[in-house]
Amino acid sequence: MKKLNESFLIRALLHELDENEIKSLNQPDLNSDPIHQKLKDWKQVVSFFKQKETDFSPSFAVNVMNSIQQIKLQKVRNQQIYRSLVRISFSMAAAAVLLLLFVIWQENSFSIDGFLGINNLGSDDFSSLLADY
Amino acid sequence: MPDLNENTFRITAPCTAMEESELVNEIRKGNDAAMHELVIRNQQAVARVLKAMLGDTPQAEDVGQETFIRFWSNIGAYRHEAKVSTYLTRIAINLAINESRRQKRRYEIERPFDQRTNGYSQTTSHNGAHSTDDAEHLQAALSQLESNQRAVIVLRMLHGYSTRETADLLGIPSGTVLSRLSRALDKLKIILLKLDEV
Repeated sequence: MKKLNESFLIRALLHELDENEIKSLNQPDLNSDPIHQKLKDWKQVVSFFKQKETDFSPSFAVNVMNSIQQIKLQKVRNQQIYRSLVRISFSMAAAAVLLLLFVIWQENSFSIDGFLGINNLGSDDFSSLLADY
Repeated sequence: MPDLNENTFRITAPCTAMEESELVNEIRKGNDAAMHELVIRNQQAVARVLKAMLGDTPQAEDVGQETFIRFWSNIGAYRHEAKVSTYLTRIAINLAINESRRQKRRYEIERPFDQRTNGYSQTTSHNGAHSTDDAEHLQAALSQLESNQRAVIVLRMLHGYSTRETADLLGIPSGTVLSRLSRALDKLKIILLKLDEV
């Protein structure tokens, strides 16, 4: 019963009652009812809200736009970094292919040693190379 | 491509005469002036929601900015099914609920244990509610409600959405809106009376 009353009251406060319910609410014998007192209390609370007018600071819209501008710039910077990385990796790949072709042209064959430039070194030469270190 | 040396916004051609749908289309094309106009038109509605949810604090303004930035970055998802203000309110209320939960967690961690047991009086003093100003009283009272109850009060009573719209915005049944509203109003009444005594 308590729940039903509260739902009824809250709908009364929100002006969501139908005609019959409004009639029952306006019955003179109910005027002293605690339910009416509660409705009055709630209306008082609601009136507090209606008086309240708020807004953000005057520079709010410009601040939002500056933040959006920063995000846009960050996106552009990220794209530039990405493009630079792609360019560098393509250049490196092209250089490796040219080196490979050059090695094949010089040696008429391809080996990893040839690619690294150590195919003509004997094992002793290789040890003497490291001996200085 | 924007100029990398230019990091502040300047209005080039104002869009004050545009309809809402035109503004959205212009924003999609990258028109900053249209976005600026949309912010100006809707900032008060967002401010009312956020200041009621989070108080007149710097956080409310930060969350306000975040609300518009989210709208701008997800503009592709906006389908003109609801008004822009409704869409923004939905974003704002979700961000505000997250922020107030975060604040509550932070406050619980930072507050010494002996104060945690002292409940109401400590919380009011934390919120600076000793002022006789009605607005501050109301804000202090609102801040004592659960964030879900506060959201219902803000949307239904302050923003004037219907019960059905409030239910849709929060993704809950209409009955739950009414029951939360009832509990929240009862609690508010008690808190406001206590604050008046202080």
